Amino acid sequence: MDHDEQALIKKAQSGDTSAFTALVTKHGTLVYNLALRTLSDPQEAEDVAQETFMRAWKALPHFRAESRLSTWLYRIATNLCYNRLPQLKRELAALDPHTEIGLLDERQVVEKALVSSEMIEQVNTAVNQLPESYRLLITLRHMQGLSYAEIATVANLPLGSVKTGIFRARRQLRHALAKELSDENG
Amino acid sequence: MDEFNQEHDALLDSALNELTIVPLPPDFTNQIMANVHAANAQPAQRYAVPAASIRYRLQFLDIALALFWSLVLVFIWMIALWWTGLIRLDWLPQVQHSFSFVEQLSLTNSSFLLVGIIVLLLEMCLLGLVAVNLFGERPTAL
Repeated sequence: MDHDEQALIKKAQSGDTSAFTALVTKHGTLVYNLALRTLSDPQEAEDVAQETFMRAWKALPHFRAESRLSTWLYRIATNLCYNRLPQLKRELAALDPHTEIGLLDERQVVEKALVSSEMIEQVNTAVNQLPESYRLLITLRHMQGLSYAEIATVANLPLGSVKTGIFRARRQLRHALAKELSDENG
Repeated sequence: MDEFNQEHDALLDSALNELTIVPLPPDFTNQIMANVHAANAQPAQRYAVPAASIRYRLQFLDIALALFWSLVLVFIWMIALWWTGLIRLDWLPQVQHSFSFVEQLSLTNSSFLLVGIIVLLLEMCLLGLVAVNLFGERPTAL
């Protein structure tokens, strides 16, 4: 957490609404996108994002800065998504936390590949077709850039379940991508 | 095959990291801040748990307790009347007459017995009124 954000949080905690406005401006887009990806409904996503910040404002004096503010906001938003989609929590809880899977080490730097805008659009479509639980995990991992441990905290899941979920989501996406590539080549 | 998968992984990672970020709906921040200012306008409720409407549910115990204390009250009143002999209800002679059979059955003076009966009836009416108005509702937490 940078010093500017810490200062804004301290000001907002003491009731400074302009500092809170700055925090909403900074994190609003990602909170909204997390809700939008998970719920697939712009109106519902806006409601969840609004409620996330209202809850954050009310609970901000109790925020201890033990985690990043963004992680804390994602956690609130995720809980609100759970309230709206009861099956989401059930799907995530059903993920086996003990499955041995082969995921890339998150510290390993992946060589950036050149991707066309068509491919991004195809992956975008494939992500939207994933089950809600996988969409949530993939969004937290790739759009919000959280580590597996942070996702486990946000989604209130065992670390193993997070890894299993992301592995299966990526497998589905890889299949969709491979199909598109073979269609293009064939 | 492994190389093929790695290539796909790299493509997938790059594509996922480039996923479209949808901009915030118009007026999003202003709406939040309007709600924040509205919440600040009620400082006493800022951290308070929203007051749930208290539901009441009358239980048999309530009725039993009310009846018990009614009877105790009536009993004390009757003892007082009998002891002092100061109050004699000479009104409602017809009602008094209708209860005179009680006097014939025992040594009780029907005039103060009548007072007890009237009080008891009033208590029962009051109890009935309370029961009709509150039955089915009771506070879940005190």
